[in-house]
Amino acid sequence: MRKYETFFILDPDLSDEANAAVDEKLKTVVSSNGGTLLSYASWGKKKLAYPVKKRIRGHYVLMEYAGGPKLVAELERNMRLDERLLKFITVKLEERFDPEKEEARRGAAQAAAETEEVTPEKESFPVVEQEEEQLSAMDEDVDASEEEDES
Amino acid sequence: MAMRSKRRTFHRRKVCRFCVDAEMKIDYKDSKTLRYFVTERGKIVPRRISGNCAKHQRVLTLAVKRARQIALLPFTTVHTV
Repeated sequence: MRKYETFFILDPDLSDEANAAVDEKLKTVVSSNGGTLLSYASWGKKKLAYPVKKRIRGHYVLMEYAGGPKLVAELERNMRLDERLLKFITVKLEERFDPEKEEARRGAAQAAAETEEVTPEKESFPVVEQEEEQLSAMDEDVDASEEEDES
Repeated sequence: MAMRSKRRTFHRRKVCRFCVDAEMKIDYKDSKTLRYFVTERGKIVPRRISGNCAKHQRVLTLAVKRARQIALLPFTTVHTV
């Protein structure tokens, strides 16, 4: 078992149901090919650095999972066939996946998040603003979706 | 020789930002950090300008290239306008 992450861009104009359908489909691909899904997180809608399939914005999603190389091949095949997905990238995070280590890492991350919760807003909001400046003029509803993700 | 010593006075020692700040991680998903190391045109800033050490520059280059693949950073700005 290896640990992978797949970062992909969904069509930003999809309805919530369509998004859920894609989520469901990818999750079943992972589980039916002997993989374990570790996390599945939406990164919100962002402006793309260049147009992809004639779209200038995209809905980023990050998925972490453990599995074999066959799972990655199958997942990428599905992603290529699916027109709702604009682009994806799969990166191998660890050669040997150790569930116990993952548990420990997750526990540590949670503890860190809890201690940081005292001052999360002051730290996280300027970061978003900076990024917007650099990405040059994002739409208002993009801001809204990003804020939702952070809360 | 005189010229060279004169020029040397302008040297400012650059340090690798990733070595100085251990908290700073290089991640292809973190376009905000990566943007410091690409030019306005989207080219990767060379080591002699940015002051990165060889090790971190290698990791950074890979991260920028991955970020380009997933449309977080531009390959170029010329054709996308």
